[in-house]
Amino acid sequence: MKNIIIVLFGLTMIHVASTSRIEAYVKTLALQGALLFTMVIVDNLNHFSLNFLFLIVETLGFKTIIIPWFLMKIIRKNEIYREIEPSIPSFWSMVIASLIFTFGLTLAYVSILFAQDVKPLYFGISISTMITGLFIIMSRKKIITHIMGYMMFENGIFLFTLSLINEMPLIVNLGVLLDVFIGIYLFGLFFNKIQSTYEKTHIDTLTYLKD
Amino acid sequence: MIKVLNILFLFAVPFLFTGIITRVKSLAAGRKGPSLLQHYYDFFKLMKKGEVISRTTSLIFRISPLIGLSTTIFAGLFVPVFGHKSIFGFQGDFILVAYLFGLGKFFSLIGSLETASSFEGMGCARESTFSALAEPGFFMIIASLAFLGKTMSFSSILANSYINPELSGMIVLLGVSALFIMILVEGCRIPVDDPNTHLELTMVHEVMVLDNSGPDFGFILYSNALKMLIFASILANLIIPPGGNLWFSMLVFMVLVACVAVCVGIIESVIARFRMSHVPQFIFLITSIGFIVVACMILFNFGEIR
Amino acid sequence: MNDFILALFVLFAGGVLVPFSANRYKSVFFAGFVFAGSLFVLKFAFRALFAAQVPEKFFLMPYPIGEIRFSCDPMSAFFLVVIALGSIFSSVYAVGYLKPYEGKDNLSAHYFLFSLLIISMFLVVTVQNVIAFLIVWEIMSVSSFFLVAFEYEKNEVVLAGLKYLITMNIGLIFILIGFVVLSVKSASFDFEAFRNIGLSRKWTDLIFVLFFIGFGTKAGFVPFHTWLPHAHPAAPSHVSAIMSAVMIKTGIYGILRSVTFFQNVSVEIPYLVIFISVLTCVLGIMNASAQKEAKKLLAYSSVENIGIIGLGIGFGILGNFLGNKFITIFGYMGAFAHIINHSFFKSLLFFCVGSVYQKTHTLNMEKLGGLIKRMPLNSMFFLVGSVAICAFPLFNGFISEIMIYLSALSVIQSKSPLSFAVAIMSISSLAFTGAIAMICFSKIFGIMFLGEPRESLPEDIGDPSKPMLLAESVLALICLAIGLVPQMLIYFVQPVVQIFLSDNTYTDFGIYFKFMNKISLFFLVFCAIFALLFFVRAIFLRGKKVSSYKTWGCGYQSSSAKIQYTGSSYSDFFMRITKPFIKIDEKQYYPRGLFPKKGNYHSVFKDMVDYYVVYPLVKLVRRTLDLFGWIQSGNTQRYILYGLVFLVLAIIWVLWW
Repeated sequence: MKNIIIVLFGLTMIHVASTSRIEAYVKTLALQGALLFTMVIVDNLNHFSLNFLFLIVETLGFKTIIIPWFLMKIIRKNEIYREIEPSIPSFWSMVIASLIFTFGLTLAYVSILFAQDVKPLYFGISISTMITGLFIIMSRKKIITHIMGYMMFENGIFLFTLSLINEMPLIVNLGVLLDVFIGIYLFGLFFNKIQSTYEKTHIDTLTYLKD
Repeated sequence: MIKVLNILFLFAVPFLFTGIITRVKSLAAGRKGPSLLQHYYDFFKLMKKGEVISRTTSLIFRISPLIGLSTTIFAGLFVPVFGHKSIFGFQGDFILVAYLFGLGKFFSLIGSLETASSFEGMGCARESTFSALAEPGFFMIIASLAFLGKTMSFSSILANSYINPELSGMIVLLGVSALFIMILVEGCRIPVDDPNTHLELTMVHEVMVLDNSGPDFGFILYSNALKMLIFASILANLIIPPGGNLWFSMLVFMVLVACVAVCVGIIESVIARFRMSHVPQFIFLITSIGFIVVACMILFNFGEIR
Repeated sequence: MNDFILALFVLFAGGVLVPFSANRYKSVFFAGFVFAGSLFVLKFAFRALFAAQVPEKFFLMPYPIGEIRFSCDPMSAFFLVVIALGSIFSSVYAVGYLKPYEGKDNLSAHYFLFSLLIISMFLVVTVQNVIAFLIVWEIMSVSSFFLVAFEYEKNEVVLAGLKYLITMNIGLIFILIGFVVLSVKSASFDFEAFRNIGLSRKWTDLIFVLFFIGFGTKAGFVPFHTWLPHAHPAAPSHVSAIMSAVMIKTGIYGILRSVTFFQNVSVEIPYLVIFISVLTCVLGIMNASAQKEAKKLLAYSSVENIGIIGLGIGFGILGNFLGNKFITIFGYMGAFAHIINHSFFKSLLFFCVGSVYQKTHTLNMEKLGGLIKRMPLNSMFFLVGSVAICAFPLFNGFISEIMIYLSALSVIQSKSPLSFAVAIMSISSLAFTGAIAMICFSKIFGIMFLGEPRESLPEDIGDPSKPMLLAESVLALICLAIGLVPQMLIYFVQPVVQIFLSDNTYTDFGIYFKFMNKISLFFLVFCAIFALLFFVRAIFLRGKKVSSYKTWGCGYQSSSAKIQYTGSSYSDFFMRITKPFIKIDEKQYYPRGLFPKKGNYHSVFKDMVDYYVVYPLVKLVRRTLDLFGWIQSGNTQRYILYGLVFLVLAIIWVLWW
């Protein structure tokens, strides 16, 4: 059962790599949050603790509901709906995402030989999620997609901790939450500023800042 | 006895399958829709008609629907139904099935290129690309299942999905979704192709058979429906665990095939056909799922089972 | 063995005596000699295939060659059969094809060199001495160069031939180095001595890679294949057929011979062979579907089929490592079966295309079309060839490909995940190339032969003359026969595969025969179903009106033949998807403004290996060598000065020493 959820999680990354509608990115983010929520529930059903409550709030609350709602609001207000000109055509971006997936799972196979207490499937899919998140940041041109790629990267880190340890330590959660908060907060706060100053959300204009 | 039922199933059920799809589409659109047996009536009506042959064509145009139908029927004899063994089988028969479909498709391609019409050329170009993209994924999944159970014949391959309990849930889920996309590709359904459009520029398969009429066209419709039914029975066989009571698995099989038809109908009513440049991406999903299946197979079969 | 030497003399006599016969009968005369010689060789080869003892003969040559040994073990016998059949068909076809060139000045020379090519190919697969092998190999390359440059008046033909010759010599360097190392290590020139030296793994790997590169250049593996698509369109069709069907396989013979030299190679070698073969298959067929010239498309398709043969060989070697007999047997059987099957259907395809060229003088498929009405038999044979090459059931291509699939599937029993991953990837790549081959051959058959002529064709097009039709029809029948009765093929391939099994015990091939029995039975059932459907339709259409009308044009009244799909547009949809692998050069001029104006579009597909590897390398070499161009000043006095300077320096060096 858990394996199916993890594989579904991986499949969402492939979906993200192939689509060009930004609302689809946000909905996928929400779906990923929901999948992480089910995984957390299934893992920790027996022992109820403060950590567990925190995890539920984090996954269900933030990843599934609040952050996607916030991003959706920004999208709808600025009317950015499509990512039309990625540097790699979407067919090849999907091929590369599948290859990254295979690479991650191969790494997981290799990891079985070295470390004994790693759960290989979680490990493989988390590595591939991280690399795919970075790949999305690298190959897309709009700032909002960068933020969402970053969120997926953080989801990958979340999954990574789940693969190594049986329960989520508080400190890792706090770290992830901090990253997420700062990213969204700064982004949301300054997005309108960037929009009004440059009138574009293309990163090409940001390269003018280099000197 | 089973073989007789098998043959009866292959010959009699294809139009019922398409009938269910049409009925579901009509119900989703709010109409009552034609009866489930409507496609049978259409088929016999076509059989009673004469033919109009284009002047530019030659012998190949006359025999291509026949080759299409005979390859599909022959391929159907190798595919297991009812969760049981197929009529014919040998080690490596799934390769024969795939290449038989290829032969049928090749002849339909050249049959439609015969007519010297730009519509048919466009349809052939698109159709050949779609089937080329769908092949590697299909082989990857079936070959992975063959490796799982160490057997190479279709009937035993599809019974293998439950060998490894850790893997079985994932295999069934991924295999079913990949095969479902194959049904949409090979049966020329939305989102790959629109069977109900009447604008030639948006057609893919429909436009290839624009110049066929009468019994030829009936054969083409029949082979299309039979192809979808074959893939649906592969899908259903993947889900049904081996062993068990024969009549019970037959019942479950029929229900699953009907469910597949209903799902195809629902998808046809809900989505529009994808933009032509997005369709190859959709078809590549089969290969992506194939990659995942292969990687999971390596992980679970060769590594420590975790 | 004396039969064999006699046959070689007959062929040589044929080549030498051709100039002395009248112009009109030259080709028939030559074909007669080739037929007689090849029949002798075939008789000898069949006997040698099943003989218990390998026939041998020794010749003593002056120093430094020493003693040359000719021997014909089953593998050489198999290749002799392939070469003999290929030469028979090619020379029979040439009787009809070279008829328009009857008065050409280099026709006799052409026949002499043709006989030289055939003789050298026979010798290449039987000689077992290094120096003799290299001499005969070079004779083969040079004579085929002259054959390619038959129409030497055209500049591009000569350029293509030169490109071919230079690439062959670069390959020769690798072969030479490999043989030199082996000869030094074993202190002998004979191939038999190479088997028994105990070399370490490092050395066998290195030598095998050198041989693979050298022989792979002849065979046409990527990235050494760039000569193929230039040489085959430039050569006349019977030469293209014999080159593609037979001469490339001598490269494969070289690779297989080097496999028999080494008992212990490391496990990376079969993986390397499989990897390069998969690359060859996929790149070859992708480039093929981009071409608009018929012979270039067939040349790239030859590259793809060489990849398939290489895949079979790779799995064969892998099987010996994994200790699984099924993989080895199926792999080698598939490879050998594909060698002979490919020679049949590729010759057939080249012959049909050559007949088209003879009648219409163009091979650009954008200008042709509707040939099935004018040349019905030729088109039917081309259809048989395309169905066979796409490996569809009922014809011989399916038999060899299913054996290679089964060898990859037999990796089931092994425990290593790497072999599993490699097997799955090669199965899916093979399926992918099969599907692209379907695009490619439906394109060439549909655009060239079906539909309407895109530009007006000459009036006198009909079916080709009898010798050409004879060659084509016999080949088509053979393709169908092997497809329906594959047991014949196994019977002939069986002794060859025996050589490659690592344990030299006798294996029972009974299961393979039973398997082929099942397949031929199924094909007969398929034919029965088809016949049944034909009768059903005939019954239904009895008494109904079957009328003919023009094609549906959506009500457009003034349609022309130019609105049909062209070859480029047919493959365009697929090519746009695979853009990173094929380079497209486009020149376009779009009309601007509100009113209709002229515009044009021109696209050329370039081979990626050619464009990114070969041309930059050649440019680099030229620039480096240009730096030294000043040495050749043309002034004789300067040359004498060079000689004097060298003499002085040599004297000083000797005195110093």
